[in-house]
Amino acid sequence: MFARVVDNVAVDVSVDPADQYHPDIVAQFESVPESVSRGWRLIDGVWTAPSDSFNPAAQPEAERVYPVLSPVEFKLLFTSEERIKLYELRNADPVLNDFLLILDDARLTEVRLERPSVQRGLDLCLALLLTAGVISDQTAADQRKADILEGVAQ
Amino acid sequence: MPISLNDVVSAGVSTAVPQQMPAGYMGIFGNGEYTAFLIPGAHSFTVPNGVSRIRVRVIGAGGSGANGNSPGVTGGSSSFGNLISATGGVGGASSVATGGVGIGGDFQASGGNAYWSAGSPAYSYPGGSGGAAAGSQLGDGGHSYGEGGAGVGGASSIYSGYGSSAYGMASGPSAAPDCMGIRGNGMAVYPIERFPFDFFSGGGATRYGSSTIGVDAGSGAGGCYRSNPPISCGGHGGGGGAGSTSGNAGMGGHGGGGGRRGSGSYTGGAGGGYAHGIFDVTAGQVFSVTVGLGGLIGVTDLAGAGGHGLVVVEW
Repeated sequence: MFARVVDNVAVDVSVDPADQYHPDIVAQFESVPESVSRGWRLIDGVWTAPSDSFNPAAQPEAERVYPVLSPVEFKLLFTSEERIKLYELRNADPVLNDFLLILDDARLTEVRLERPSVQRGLDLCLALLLTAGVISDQTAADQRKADILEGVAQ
Repeated sequence: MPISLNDVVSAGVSTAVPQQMPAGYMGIFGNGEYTAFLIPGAHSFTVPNGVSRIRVRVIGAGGSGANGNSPGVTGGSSSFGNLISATGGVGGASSVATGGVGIGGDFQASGGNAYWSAGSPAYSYPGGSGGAAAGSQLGDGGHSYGEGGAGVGGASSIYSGYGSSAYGMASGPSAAPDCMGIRGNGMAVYPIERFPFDFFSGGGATRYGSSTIGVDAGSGAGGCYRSNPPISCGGHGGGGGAGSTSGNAGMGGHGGGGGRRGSGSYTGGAGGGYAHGIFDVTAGQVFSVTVGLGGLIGVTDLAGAGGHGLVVVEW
């Protein structure tokens, strides 16, 4: 196994770099143990796998499986206080109003939480609730987002 | 730039319409067919029957931004066999992260560097560090001196939280323009790209308070600084915007560096290198194709991830 190492991190890993890369880059590869993968770090002469908090090979967010909900089920992921405040704020924020109108549309049969448009709408709701003081601070907002994306009803 | 109506028709006499293509357009090659490898990892390409020449572009992945003073991760290299390669941008580092380089082929460009500074040179934003841009067919990527993301073609981000683009740098009060000369359009797209890096048409991202509108940049442009969610990502090749400690930083587009999150003396991610070339090939010949993985620290980390690399083959 061979790796191109930058700042003690295996940036490119290959069994046969001569087939995969231009010769100028091949010259930068060095032999490493078979167990080394991309993202491994050389610490005090020992190759170490990245920890969970430093893991380039961690599952990308896009591959996460999200629940599919009915519009009502999605609304129930918010607390009563949060829903009431959002209805109150919709007249002052056309983007929020647009998002709520889509949720209220009778033709909408499901809400897919993995869709960027839904997540942008969720981000907007949480940002407005944070500004309005319904959510206490950014940490609480982050937790609310995590709960909602997990489908945790309130 | 828009086409003037005066150029189209004059006194009922047919007139050739001057077409102005967006920045970086290299024209149709061969039969106009192509394959774009977008997913990081190892792939292969088999030369189709009847094809004897191909045009290849490779873009290295962007580095991720630092999270405070925790360094980012360097992006992976992209390559088309052993003919042409581009290395990734270095992840957010102390003071400066260096862009990747292109190797082989007919044209090479370096990714932009991401800098941290205390306000010198004067056009740099003290401490701000959006992601730098990838190299491209327009030349070296823009450096990051500001909180906004840099654009392709040397459009550095400067003393501004807004994104730069292939059509210029952001100015103090607004983002860089798109191909129509309009500032603040963000993701607005007029022409239709066949694939990333076909050309660059987008404008830099602009902040709209807490709104979700327009916070991502168009192709070739950088994201903007965000103090609250949502994040602001770079378009293809552009760097992501920096984020505050209470928010997340933006991701880079293909080859673009991610923005730094929070404060500290570390930088955003640097841009990946670029190269393109035309090669004589034989039908049935098989090439290994490698697409670099964008730097990212982990799924729970809030620093901006580097954009993945890219390989495009045309025939």
